Amino acid sequence: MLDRPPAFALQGASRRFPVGLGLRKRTALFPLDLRLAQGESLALVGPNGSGKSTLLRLLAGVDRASAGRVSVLGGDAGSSAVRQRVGWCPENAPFPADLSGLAALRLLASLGGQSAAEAAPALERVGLGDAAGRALRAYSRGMLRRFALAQAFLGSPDLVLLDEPTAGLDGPGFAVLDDLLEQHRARGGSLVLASHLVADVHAHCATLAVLVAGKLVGSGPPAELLAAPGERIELTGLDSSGLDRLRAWVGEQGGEVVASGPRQLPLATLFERASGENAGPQRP
Amino acid sequence: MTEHLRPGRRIQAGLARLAAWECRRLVCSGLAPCVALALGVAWWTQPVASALLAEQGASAGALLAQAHWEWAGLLLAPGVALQGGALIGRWRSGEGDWLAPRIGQAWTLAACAAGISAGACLLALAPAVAGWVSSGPASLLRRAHGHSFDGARIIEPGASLNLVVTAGDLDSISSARVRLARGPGAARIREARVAAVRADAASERTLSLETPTWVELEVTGGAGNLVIGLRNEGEGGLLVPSGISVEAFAPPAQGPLAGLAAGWDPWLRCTRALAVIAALAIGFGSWMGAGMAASCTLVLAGGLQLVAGPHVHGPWGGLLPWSDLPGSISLLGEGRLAETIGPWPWVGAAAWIAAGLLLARAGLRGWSAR
Repeated sequence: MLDRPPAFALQGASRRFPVGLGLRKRTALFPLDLRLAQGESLALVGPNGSGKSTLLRLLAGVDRASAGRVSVLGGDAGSSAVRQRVGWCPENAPFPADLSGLAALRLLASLGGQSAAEAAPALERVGLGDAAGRALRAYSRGMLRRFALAQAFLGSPDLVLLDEPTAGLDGPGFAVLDDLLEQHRARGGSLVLASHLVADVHAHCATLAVLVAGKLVGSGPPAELLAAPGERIELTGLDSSGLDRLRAWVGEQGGEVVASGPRQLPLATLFERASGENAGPQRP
Repeated sequence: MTEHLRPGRRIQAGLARLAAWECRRLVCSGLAPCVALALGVAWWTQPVASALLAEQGASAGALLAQAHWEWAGLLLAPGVALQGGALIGRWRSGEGDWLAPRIGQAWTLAACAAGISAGACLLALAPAVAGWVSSGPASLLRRAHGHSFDGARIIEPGASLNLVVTAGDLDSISSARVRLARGPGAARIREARVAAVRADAASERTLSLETPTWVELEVTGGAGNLVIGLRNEGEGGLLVPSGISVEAFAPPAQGPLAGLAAGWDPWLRCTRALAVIAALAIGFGSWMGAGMAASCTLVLAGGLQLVAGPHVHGPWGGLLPWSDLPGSISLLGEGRLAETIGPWPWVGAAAWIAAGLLLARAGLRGWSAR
């Protein structure tokens, strides 16, 4: 069996931007070595301005590395053969606002070498079937984020790059994102998620890479990378007297209850309950 | 690189959609001003033109057609230049994020330039229709040949001067005209006799020369050189200025669509010029902001026109493919059409467009900031 090339491989890749008249340069990404096998998923986390988006743009072929090598799916990130196998959801992209959702997605599909007929099912998949005829400028931010997800997963790409995928996502959008990621993983696709919130992405990815100020400061499985001394447990089913006895017992054992409070539903679940089944995404 | 290969059918359809989107953008922003301008020129200029020209017997409709094109040029050229100059800036500020992962820069540039040019073609239909309606459905005389004679000279009283026009395409002409002026200090000149001689037929006209004026004569006879004879029958010197031109005109074309030429002839010249402006602005736009790119484009085109425009003729007209536009619009104001559009301006326009897109490609290292 032939070895499959990695989903991406960075060798000393860096990116510097000219500042002012171009006499000075600002380094957004210091030389970086990173690799992801096909079929695996990686979460890029770090504070704002740490270089996550710059790295994703290099992988998407939107930007070129100032130095080093960027290989995606065994080829050059900017080549047309690779472009057609990569899905890219930028954080803020001004999609053609004067076009309807369907017309815009048809444009994007055909520019990517896919059939324009895939556009309508893709919009249905993210719950925008009813809004397909409306101009994108009339979409809410949450709907635009779902549109961005629809175009990223159009044509079942082998590698999907999502930049801050949960930013601005509405209630149904979270379920849409979960569905799309689940289907993508089931197909054996590779995934790179970038976010400044670890909680948003690490559940979807087997590997975590931490970027700070343009430098890779650590990478590995989330359980190892985020490990801390002690153990965290979640309890349910105890009434207040039971909890009081538990707190007392923990104190006797030399431990400390760090935090406690009433149990809460995830917001997405509340949205789904409140809006009923009709407001949810139309599952394929 | 793979992106330079011919794209597949689906991507071709995508490029066509992209071009249509750019076209739509320009048309949506420019249609209302173009129509408003056409209506404004028609309503406010026509009465003035009619009043001014009533005594001279000239055609107010032709002058109005010229006004439509001149105002449209003042609106369309900066508008198209701005749209072209802003293209790369829009890519860099976000549109590249969804374009770059799908299609190569060269194809995208070509499709967008084609789209902006197509939008300019559509917008130029407004002055074309308005100009055609103004000048009327009649077929117009078309200039078949223009010849300049260098060297100023003064014809003394009683003396003659023959200007011989030799060209291969004079067989079908029906009239010729020459522009005459009084000489400096020749206040007493009154009469000049102008004759057009061809083969064995001649027509002549005697006129009083109070102001510089075109003298037009019917040309009869068959093939052969055209000789314009000037005879000074006044008492002062008759100035034949340097660069005096003799123009020969073919009779109005016949046919069901011949009457449309007053609309489509300037439209073709205008759209060719606008396509060049769009491509140049796109090229400058990859190195500077939209406003500066549009300004550079217009200054370059206008400057070259001022410096070299009057000196490029024939195949050399291809060097400045917009250089025939001012003359043709001016001629339209006299109710005539300029020479049939030859291939050279189109070749030149293609070269300028390619240069503009190459300039853009050179300034575009990536899709984002340089």
